Amino acid sequence: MMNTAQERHLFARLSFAALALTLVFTSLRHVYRFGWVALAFNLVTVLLLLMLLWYRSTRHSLAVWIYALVGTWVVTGFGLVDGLWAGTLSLYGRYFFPNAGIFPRSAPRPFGFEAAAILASVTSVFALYYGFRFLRTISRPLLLIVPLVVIIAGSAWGISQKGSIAGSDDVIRIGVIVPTHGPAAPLGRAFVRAVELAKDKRATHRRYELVIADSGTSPKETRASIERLVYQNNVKAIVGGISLSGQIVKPYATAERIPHLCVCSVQAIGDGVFNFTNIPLPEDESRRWMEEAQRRGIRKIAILAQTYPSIDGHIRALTKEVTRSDARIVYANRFPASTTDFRTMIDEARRAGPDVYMIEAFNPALDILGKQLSDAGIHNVASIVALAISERKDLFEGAWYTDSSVDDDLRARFEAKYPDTPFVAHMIPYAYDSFNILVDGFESRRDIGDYVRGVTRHTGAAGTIERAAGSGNFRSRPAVWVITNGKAHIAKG
Amino acid sequence: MKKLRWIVVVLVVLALLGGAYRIVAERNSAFFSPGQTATSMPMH
Repeated sequence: MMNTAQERHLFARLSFAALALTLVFTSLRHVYRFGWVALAFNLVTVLLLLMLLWYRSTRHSLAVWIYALVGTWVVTGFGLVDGLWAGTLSLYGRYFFPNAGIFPRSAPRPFGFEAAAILASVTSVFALYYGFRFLRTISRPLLLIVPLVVIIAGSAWGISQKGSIAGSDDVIRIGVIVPTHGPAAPLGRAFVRAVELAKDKRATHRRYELVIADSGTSPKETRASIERLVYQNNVKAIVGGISLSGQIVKPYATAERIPHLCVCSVQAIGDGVFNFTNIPLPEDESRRWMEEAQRRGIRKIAILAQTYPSIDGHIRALTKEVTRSDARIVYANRFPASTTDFRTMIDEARRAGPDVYMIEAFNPALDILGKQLSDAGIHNVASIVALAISERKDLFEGAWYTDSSVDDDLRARFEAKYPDTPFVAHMIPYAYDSFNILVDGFESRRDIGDYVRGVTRHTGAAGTIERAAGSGNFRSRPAVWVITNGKAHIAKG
Repeated sequence: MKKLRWIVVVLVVLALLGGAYRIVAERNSAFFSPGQTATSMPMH
């Protein structure tokens, strides 16, 4: 049987050891967040040791008070709130009860990060127990009561700060993720304005807040943005654009069970569960293109197209569509984005005697090609979407192309409100409709995921978009656009 | 008895770590699929 002094020595040592281990594991966990500088956390161990030594040699109450309060801070902040609640319980709770909405979302992190949380929570429980046993031997009631109150209040405050996703129901945050800088910035800015326009126009019973995130120009930037939206801003739904970022957003939407409507042409992004695309697929574009070509009596097609993933998709789908018709491709040339001299390929294509020159490229190649075609006296030009982004539409006078159908009222309102922003037909109406589909869901007060999964038809600014039940792709029939007097407009009939 | 208690503690911790390893591996495989790079991901 130990006497009080022996007990005091024993539990002081054990509580110190447990606190030191908690700090070791916490600092390792924080290395993932802040880098190696986080190991400096371990200096707190030195402070705790000094306090214990001071107390042992002088029995000064200040020493034990500092030890108790610093220990309480370590146990509460790093052990119970960060390690146990936000680490261990969150990891397991969200795995076994994904719909509970009790635990905070957490970004995908390495095993070491999660393991450090488990170890820190276990050692902090020991630190709590041994610390209590140590302070009990000092016979000062306040020395037990104050740390206990701090632990209870601190844990409650810390857990509330970690924010479960179920709590903040008064304002519904909808994330909008598109590139707002870099080469795709004009598309991204137009996209954001379309969603803002939809929000301004919509009368709702609930309050909505748009959280705009720049997906940037690299996967790394996109990951940082989507993690900010999902894990800091706690968005409840996502509207995104550009397949490049849509593919990175998709697993986050799935993991956190957030509906993600993506104005993307890559079919695989839509899984029909949490991710949906709502832009005509390459198959829809090429089918409509061939219908128009047939109507115009086109039999021989020359293709001059940049090598680029989304253009590849269009060309593949068009080639397949051509084989189903009586038309044929008499010339095809794929060129890199850096091409500036198209004269040789234009001559080669002309020798094949095509009825139409099907071109597709991004600027600057697009307008350079347009200029050289025009100089060669060639005006029987057509495209899929690409001509919409030409900055010199006058070069393509008389050309036609397929692109999204657009509600005239939306276009008028958009151009009146944002006269400096080009109206991008293949993004704006879909961004506008995506926001409205989500708001319809939130207003219905049903589970937003269930609601979106149930939408198989929506009539909005892009006309009617439809989706087969279970499919992740809303499909729609593109329109034929023609360029006259240097401006693009939807062809009549 | 005391020894048994420590064995239980160690086993519980190991079980928690093992479970976490599986959950993390399963979860992260969805986020970081092999071959998912900037050049392999087509833009809109």
